Amino acid sequence: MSDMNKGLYFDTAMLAGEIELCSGSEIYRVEDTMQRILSLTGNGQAEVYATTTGIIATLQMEGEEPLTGVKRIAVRSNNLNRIYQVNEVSRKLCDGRMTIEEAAAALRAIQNAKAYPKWVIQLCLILSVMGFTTLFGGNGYDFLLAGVAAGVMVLLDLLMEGRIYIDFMKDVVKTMGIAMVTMWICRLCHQAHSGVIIISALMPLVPGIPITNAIRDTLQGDYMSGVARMLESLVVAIGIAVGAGAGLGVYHLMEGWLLL
Amino acid sequence: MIIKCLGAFLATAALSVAFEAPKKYLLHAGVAGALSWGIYLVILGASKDVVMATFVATAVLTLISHIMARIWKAPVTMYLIPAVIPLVPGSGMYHVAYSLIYENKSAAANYGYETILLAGAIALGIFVVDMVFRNNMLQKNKKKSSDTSAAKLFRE
Repeated sequence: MSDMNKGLYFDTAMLAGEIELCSGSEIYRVEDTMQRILSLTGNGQAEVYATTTGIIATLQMEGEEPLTGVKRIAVRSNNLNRIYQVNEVSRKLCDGRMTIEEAAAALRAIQNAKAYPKWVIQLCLILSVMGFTTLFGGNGYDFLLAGVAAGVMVLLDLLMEGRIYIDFMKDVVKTMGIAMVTMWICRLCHQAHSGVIIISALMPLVPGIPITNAIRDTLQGDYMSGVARMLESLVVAIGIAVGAGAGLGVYHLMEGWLLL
Repeated sequence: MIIKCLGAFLATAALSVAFEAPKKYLLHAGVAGALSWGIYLVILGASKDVVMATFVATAVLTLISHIMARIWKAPVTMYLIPAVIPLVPGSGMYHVAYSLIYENKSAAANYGYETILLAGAIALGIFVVDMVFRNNMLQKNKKKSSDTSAAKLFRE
């Protein structure tokens, strides 16, 4: 295999791993995908090591200098679409239904792919909050008013975009806004339950992804990322509790002065 | 109960859009969420035990996600992550904060304890089912690799 081709395989594997890790994939999936792509080089010896914050990979061909790369992953988000797309590309590549050049181009396209426009995502956040009210025993008023509370959450999200970069702070501000607005709404509309609306509105913020991934990573023996993700979900949970508490507290203090 | 399952369907399908799941898997995730919530409600009605209900619902949900992943050849997390959200104890976190603000410390401790138990139940539910599938997969891989090494020996 020519030298340039080996480099292309290595870069493609690195890119695939990076996209998966940035999109919140489990560690074993990252390592597995990279290992599979690197093993296509034939007689090479490939080693991949990934944690939640970075990837190290090396490819040693017989009688050649080894290729090694390190990638630091600083920003992570949740994007199931990208994980799925990378999975498809690596599946096709390993089955021989795709050449390495095509795969590299496809991965570069995936890196900036958006499955939905922004307003659809925001609308669906509001819809999901309205759906959650039925789960927690809310009535028709709760169903509609939860939409307002979720709208406030989306609005706060838009306001904070490009201004606040710390996730903990975002969660606290969002839940605080939700709690205050909901308590105020429920003061005006007596048929609504403030508890149901607040809980439903903060359900999309709940750390479901870190918990799920923490368990799956721990089971695979990736204890480092398992513990890191446990801690992440704990921090998010604390952020939600602090925000809700702060919102309720502020409302409680101002209740006497009458907001309306 | 049917309304609640429909609510779970709406919530899960809409949430998977927020997590940017591919369009063709939205309905699947919604169905998984509605099914697991239905099971949760049935077990809760039968045993009156929230922790038990959460555990069984999560375990069944993980099983459904694994089966769906094998049928439609997609990562398990595609179905599991959106559908597990309704079971996550968000209400517990809120009740802890609420009780602390209205100075009811024993209630806060109670809710905190329950929240931790529920998180543990979810973890165990995913863990148990995942473990079985993972073991199966490792077994298969082992067989395959020993086959190829045997073939190599033969060739040499």
